[in-house]
Amino acid sequence: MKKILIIEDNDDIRENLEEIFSLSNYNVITAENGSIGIKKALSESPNIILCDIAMPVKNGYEVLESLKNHNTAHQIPFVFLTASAQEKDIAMGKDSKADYYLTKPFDTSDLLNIIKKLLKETA
Amino acid sequence: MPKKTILQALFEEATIGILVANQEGVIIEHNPYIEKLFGYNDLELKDKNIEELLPESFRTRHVQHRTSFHKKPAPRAMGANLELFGQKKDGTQFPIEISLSHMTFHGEPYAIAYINDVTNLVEAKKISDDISKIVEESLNEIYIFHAETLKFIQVNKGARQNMGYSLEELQQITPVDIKPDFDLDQFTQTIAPLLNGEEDKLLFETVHQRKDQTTYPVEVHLQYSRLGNQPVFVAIIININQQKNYEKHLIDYSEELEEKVKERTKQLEENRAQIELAFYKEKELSELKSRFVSMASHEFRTPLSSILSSADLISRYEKTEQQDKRMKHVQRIKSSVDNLTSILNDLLSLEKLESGKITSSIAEVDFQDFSSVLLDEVNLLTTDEQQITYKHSGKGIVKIDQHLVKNILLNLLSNAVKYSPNGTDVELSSECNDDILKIEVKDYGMGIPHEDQEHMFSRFFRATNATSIQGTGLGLTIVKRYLDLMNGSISFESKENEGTTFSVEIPQ
Repeated sequence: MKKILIIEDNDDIRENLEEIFSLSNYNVITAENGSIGIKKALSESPNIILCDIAMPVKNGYEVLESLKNHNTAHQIPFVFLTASAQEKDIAMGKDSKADYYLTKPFDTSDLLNIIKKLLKETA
Repeated sequence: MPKKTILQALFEEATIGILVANQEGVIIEHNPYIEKLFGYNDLELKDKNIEELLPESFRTRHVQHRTSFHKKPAPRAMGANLELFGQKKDGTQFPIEISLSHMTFHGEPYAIAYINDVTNLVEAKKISDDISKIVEESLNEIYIFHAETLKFIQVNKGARQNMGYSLEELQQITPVDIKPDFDLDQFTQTIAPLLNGEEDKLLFETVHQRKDQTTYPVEVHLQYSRLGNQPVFVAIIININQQKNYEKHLIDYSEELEEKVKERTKQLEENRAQIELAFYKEKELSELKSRFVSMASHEFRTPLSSILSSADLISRYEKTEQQDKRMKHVQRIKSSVDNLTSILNDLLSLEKLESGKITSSIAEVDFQDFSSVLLDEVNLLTTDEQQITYKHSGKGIVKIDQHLVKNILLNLLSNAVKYSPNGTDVELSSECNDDILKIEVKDYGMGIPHEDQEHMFSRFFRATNATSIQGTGLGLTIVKRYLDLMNGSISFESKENEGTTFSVEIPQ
C-alpha cells in the first residue's frame, strides 16, 4: 500500500482528499500546515507528497525547498495542489523542483491518475 | 605823402570799379578794376557809352535813369537794388551794385559810378531764401521763439496748419500755451540748461494742444540760437502719434502674447494634471483589476475544490449505510456554497455602495443590548480558547444605523478572531457621549506590517503577512464605506506580531 502525505490547511479539502485517497487504497497521512508537513515527510517517509501552496507557518514552496535539499526526502515525488492558478503562478510552479503542478478545483480521477503515474515512474 | 599820390592810388588800386561819364553817358575816365570787371581794355573803354556795359534789356531804362539823375543829381548809396546786372565784353552777365555821385568840370556835369560785382552776395541770398523756403515748407513743425519773452517769432507752415493757428495768433503766445503738461516754471527749468550752456540740445517728449483743444504726442528737439540780434530757441517738433500708437500696439500685443502664454501654460498644466490623474487612475484600476483577479481566482477555487471533491465522494458512497457520509459532504457543499455566496455578497455590497444604492437610516438604539446580540453571533466563530470581552461606558442610547454598525462590527470582530491565535482574547469596547460614539476592537494577533498599513482600506488589498489566510480584501473597504454613510470614521494602530486596534467613531 502506497503512503501519501497530504499537506493542506483547509480542513474541508484536507478531509476530502484523505477520503478520496483512502477509498483508493492509499495509506494517507495529513498535515494542516507546512511546518507539520515537513516533519511528517521526514518521519513517515511517504511515497508521494501532495501539497498546497498558500498555508500558514510555512508555505508550499518552503516545504518543497526544505525537502528537496534533504538527502533522502528529495527523492519523494512532490505535487502541488493549489488555488494559485494565474499564469504567473503556474509558470513559477513549473519552474520549481515540484514534479507536478495541479490547480484547484481538481477532477478527482485526474488527480488519482497523476499520483498513480508518478508513483509508477519512481517505482 | 602828397595827396595827389594818395588820390591816384585810391583810384588806380581800388578793388571796386570806378568810372566817370558825361551827361551823354560817354565814359570819360575809368580805373583798372573796371577793365577787370567787364573784360575790356583801356582803349576799348575809352569813349564807350556806359549803356554798353549793361545788358540789352536794361539799356533803354538806364538812359532814362541817367537823364533824371543829371536833372537832379544826388548821391545814391549801394544796396538799394540788387537786381542790376552788368554785361562783360564776352556777353556774360553778372549782378552788380552801383552807387553814384556827381561832379561838375568846366560847367559840364559828370556822373561818377562805383560798381561792385555782387555775384557772391546774390548767390548767398538765394541760398538763404531757399533755406527759409525749406524750413517753411518742412512737414515737421518748426518754431522759433524769443529766448527771453518766449513768444513765438516764426512758425513754419507745417506747424501752423497742424496747430490751427495763424502766424499772427502764434506770435501772441508762447510754447507753454500749447504744452498742457507744462506751466511756465516747469518750462523755464526745462530750457535753463540750454541758456546756461550746460546742454547744446534738448530732447524730450510731451503733448501739444491744438487750437481746437485736441492733443497729440510730440518729440521736441530744442536748440538755443540767434535770429539776427535776437536770442531765440529753435524747436523742431515731431509728431510721434504714430510711433506712440505703434508702441502701444506693441505693448498691447506683447501683453496679449504674455496672456496667451500664461493661458496656454495653465492649459498645459491642467492637461498634464489631468493626464497624470488619468494615468494614476488607470494604474490604480489596473492594480485593482490584478488584485481582484488574484483574489477571485484564489478565493473561488478553494470552495469550488471542496464542492467538486465532496460531490465526487458522494458518488462513491453508494451503500445505504453510507448516508451519514453523503450527508457530511452535502453539508460541506452547502457550507462552501455559503462561503462563495458571502464573497459574492461582499462584491455586491461594494458595488451597491459605490453606485450610491445604499443609504443609512439612523435610529436610537440601546447599544449594550445591540452588542450582546451581536456577540452571541460572533462567538460562534471563536474557539473555546478564544473569547471576546466587552465593556461600555457613557450614554446607553446611541444613534446609529443598526444594519450598518452590525456589519461593521461583524467584520472587525471576525478579522480580529481570524488574524489572532488561539488563547488570545479580542476586546470590544464602546463609549458614548452627546457628540460621539467610539468603538474599539483590539486583538493581540499577527498585526499589519507597517508598509501595508496605508493600503488597508483599498479594495482587494491583502496584507503581505495574510496572503496564506483566506480573504477577499473587501471587508475593511466596505466597513469604511459604511462609516462614510454615517459621517463616521475609522482608524487603526497596529504592530506586527503584537496586535491591532481598530477605532470607529460615529457622530451623534
